[in-house]
Amino acid sequence: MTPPLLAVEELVRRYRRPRAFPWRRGEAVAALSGVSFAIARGRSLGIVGESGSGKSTLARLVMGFERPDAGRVLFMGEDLAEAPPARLRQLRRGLQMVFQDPVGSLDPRHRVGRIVGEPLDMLDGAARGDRSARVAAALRSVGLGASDAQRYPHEFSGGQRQRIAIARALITRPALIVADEPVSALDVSVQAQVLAVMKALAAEHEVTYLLISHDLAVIAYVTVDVAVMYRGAIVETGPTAAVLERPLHPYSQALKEAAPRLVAGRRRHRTRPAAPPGEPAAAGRGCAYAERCPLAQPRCREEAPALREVAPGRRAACHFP
Amino acid sequence: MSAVAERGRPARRRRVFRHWGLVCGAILTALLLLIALVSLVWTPHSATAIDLTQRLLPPSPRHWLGTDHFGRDIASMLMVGAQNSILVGIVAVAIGVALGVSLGLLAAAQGGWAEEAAMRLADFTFAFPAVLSAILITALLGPGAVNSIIAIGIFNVPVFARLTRGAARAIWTRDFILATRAAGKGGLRITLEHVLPNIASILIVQATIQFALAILAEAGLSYIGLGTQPPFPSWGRMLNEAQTFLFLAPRLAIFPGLAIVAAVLGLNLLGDGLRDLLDPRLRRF
Repeated sequence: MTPPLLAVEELVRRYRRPRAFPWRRGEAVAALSGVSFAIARGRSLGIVGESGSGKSTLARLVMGFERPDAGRVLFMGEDLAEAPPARLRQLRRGLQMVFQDPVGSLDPRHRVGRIVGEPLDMLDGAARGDRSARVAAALRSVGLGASDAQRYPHEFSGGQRQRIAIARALITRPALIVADEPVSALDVSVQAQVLAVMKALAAEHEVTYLLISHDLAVIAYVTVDVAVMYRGAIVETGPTAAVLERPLHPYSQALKEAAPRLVAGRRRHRTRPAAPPGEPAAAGRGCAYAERCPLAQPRCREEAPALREVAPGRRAACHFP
Repeated sequence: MSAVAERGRPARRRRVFRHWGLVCGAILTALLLLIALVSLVWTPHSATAIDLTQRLLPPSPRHWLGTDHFGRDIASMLMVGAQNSILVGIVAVAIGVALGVSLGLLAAAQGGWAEEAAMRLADFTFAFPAVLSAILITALLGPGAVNSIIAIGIFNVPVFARLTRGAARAIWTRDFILATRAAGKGGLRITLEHVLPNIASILIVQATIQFALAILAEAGLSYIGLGTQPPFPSWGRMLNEAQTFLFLAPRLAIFPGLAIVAAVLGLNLLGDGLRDLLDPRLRRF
């Protein structure tokens, strides 16, 4: 049996607050507290959640920019943290990233051709191929021209820059692209255009996405599966269409309710405003969402619900789905 | 798109000429370099030949700026002295850039104890007043042009180390560095390909200003007798020797003083102008 494209096992990442006194250690805040999921080839996964839920930390750990405090990230069955440097370079070919900020993610001093071709620099000759031809092909596949390689990033609009970033991620023909809020810095009219490019590439180049967004519409457009995160943990997973149609976890329901709609309608139940991110009340005990949950029962404050299968293919971390 | 690109360049050229400080600075600096270069092959008279029959002459067609108490031609001495100032400035700034920038880049790339060590070393060097440490070094190694260059160069190291580290750290937080790491590049390649090009303009500006400070420092050291040794002419020592004749022939002090002012002012104006031109955060014109 082939291992999944990406498997994340019980990932924990804590950050320390700056110390209040020089002789005291800073207080630890868990950004991720035991996150597990797997992505099969071709089944793009969306991660939704409010700010502070640990989405971006997850992306940084998957890319290997930071090391987890516990747990493992397995890319095609191999742990990036343990791979020897030569193997790591090979593995990295299959794993690329698109960032949120289309201004900050392109070096202003480099021409577009050099930016897009950069991932090729670390590959050996055979895998590298004809650099300028590959740069031109990558630019064309995101709807830009080969002559754009001679320009500098500041000559492009936000949407074009984000497509340049996608071309860079694409050039090594990766199996997985991690996209952290790829369109949230763009105008709505440009978002659709960039998402269309991403979706077309998924089919054309057999790219699978780990797409992080706070926008349910973006997730629904690109991904097959979705995982809803709340305070560093996954509270619900399942096929995107089913989860968005009928969310099972109260937090997913609240997210769906909160999404702006064109048709005015009565909201089923109001959610309370978000509590500041941090450790759940009575650390370790009870459901992290209990304070805000309209359905909370005494049991929710005593016992943390595990992520369990509640319907075929769907899992939720709730006592009363 | 291309219209923007084509309009970009002439607009920049126009901005250069509209900035009068930059233009004045560039002209003064170019003049200084030109004089120094000309003096390598030609001076009106020998800068070192003593002729006691021609002492303390006022300016004349033969001696443009007059002669000093040994009968040496002031104009020729100033021209050859410019060589000295420029050489000291270039070498001292080169020492500061080579050591300081490497140290700062290393500190920013490495972080942790390496950064801490490099920066405390810079603080330690900074804690000594520049002139005092220059006197200390020349006192230890003996006076002379080379030792004064070393002394001024060492003073430049922490200046560049701090500036480089601060600027480089800001670059390291940018997303395009993460993109490079995703490509699998290591700290050295990221530093050379991404960090250095992005902070180069700041370093060029600082180098220009440190150049001016080095010229000033060299004149100061020569003035107190620790810099360039006779008979090679130096602006600082000319000022010192002029002291004795300050009432008899004030021009002996005025001309080298003006030379120092022109050189330092020119380089400072050039540095400020380049800062305005290259640093987008301060773009005001």
